[in-house]
Amino acid sequence: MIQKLIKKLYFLKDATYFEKGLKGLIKSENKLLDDKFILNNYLYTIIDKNLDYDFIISIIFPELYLNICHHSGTKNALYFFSECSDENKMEIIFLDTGVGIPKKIKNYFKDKKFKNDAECIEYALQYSITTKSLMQNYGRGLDTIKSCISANHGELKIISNKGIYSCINSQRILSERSHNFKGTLIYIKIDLNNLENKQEIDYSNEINFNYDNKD
Amino acid sequence: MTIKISEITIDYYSGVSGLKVGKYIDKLILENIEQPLFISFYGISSIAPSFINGCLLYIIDLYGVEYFKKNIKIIEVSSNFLELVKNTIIKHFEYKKSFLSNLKAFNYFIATDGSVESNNIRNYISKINSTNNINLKYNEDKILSANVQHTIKKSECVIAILSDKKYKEFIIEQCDFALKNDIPCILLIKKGMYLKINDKIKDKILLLRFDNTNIIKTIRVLNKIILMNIVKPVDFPVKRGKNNNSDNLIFWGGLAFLSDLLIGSILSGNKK
Repeated sequence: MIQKLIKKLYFLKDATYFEKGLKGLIKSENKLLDDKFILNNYLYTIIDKNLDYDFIISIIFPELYLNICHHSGTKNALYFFSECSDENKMEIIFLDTGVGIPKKIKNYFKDKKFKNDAECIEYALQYSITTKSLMQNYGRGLDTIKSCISANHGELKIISNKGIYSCINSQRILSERSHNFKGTLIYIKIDLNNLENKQEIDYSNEINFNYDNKD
Repeated sequence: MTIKISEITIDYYSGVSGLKVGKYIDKLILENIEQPLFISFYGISSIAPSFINGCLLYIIDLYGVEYFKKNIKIIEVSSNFLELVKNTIIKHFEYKKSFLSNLKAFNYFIATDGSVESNNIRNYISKINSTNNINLKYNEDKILSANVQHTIKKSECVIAILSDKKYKEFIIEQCDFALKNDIPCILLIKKGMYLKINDKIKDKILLLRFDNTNIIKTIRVLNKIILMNIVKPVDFPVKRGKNNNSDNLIFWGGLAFLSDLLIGSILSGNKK
């Protein structure tokens, strides 16, 4: 299955690219913790043990993983992490062969008019846009991922149905494909030079909104 | 009272796990309504936004922003995700505000009786009225006068609050008039008060019990209905007139408004 899915990515990278790196299938939400553990090991043992990968491990990975589990409607999905050692960057790919973001958005927000599929993707990236399929879904995942990648000066590219959404250094580009891409491909490039070094955890922080209110 | 999240779950990444914690917190709030609650993140080095949604935003949705601000304090948070938790919550407060101001119903008719509870609620309403775009009209005449009839017809939703049985007649009369004019109607009756209501009205109205010894519970019930309706729109057993879709929006708006109003009346009551 994994090879079959990887073949779908040959338009993005050649076959040899996928020989290295960490790859895994996304089957269900129950597997998230195990896969996160594997990713954790990969990043700290293969890449660099001193860097702080927190936003990759706790935001990008689980949010995209769960998005696929909750919204794609397929079990044919994978994740792929690879280091581009020549430029000290890391590439992350999430692929599913499900319904696709534009189709899902158009079905849910029937009253809204979209010019094209790329606009649907951009709409899905906005804060609080959710098809609320579960009580705990609030439509914050993609928005948070986008913010984290921007803060890292990284790249985000989403291809889904006919839409292509790209964001490089906070510059967004929307375009359309001539052929329909069945499913969703998310490509992320992180600059490892912009990651901070791992620090000791400080648990002395508090959040009290009542005080904030008084201020 | 302190809850240590690490004692409830080991998964801090999925929404399902967050919701499991959220439900645990919800249970504790219901059992200890007046007590401040400390939620400790001690021992947790990283966390996903989905977990925060299920764990904390769910509580804000159930109990409202004001209750959360007043009673919940988050402690022992790792510096790794302090900003994430704080920003997620603040953004949700803003979202809740915009949710209320984006509701489709702005013109409400509030039918209150002459009891102490009603007066408290009216005092609170007059305060929030100046900060929202909501247009509120009250039943100044305790009869179904021509003036009251005209105001009800111009409103989009009627919210009636009955705390004292002796005022039953005119409250029911005003609700009945609203229903005859296809205006959605919510009737909140104080717990323990038993009324015989005409079946025709009973079928069309949303009847809720108002527990003045545990108003938070009432608010939670209202918010849960709203939340469930957002997740999966349900056919509510209230049969109403022609414009079903817009009626629904107005109706849920009424509920959201009512829950906001109730929490406010408690908090303003507590301040006294």
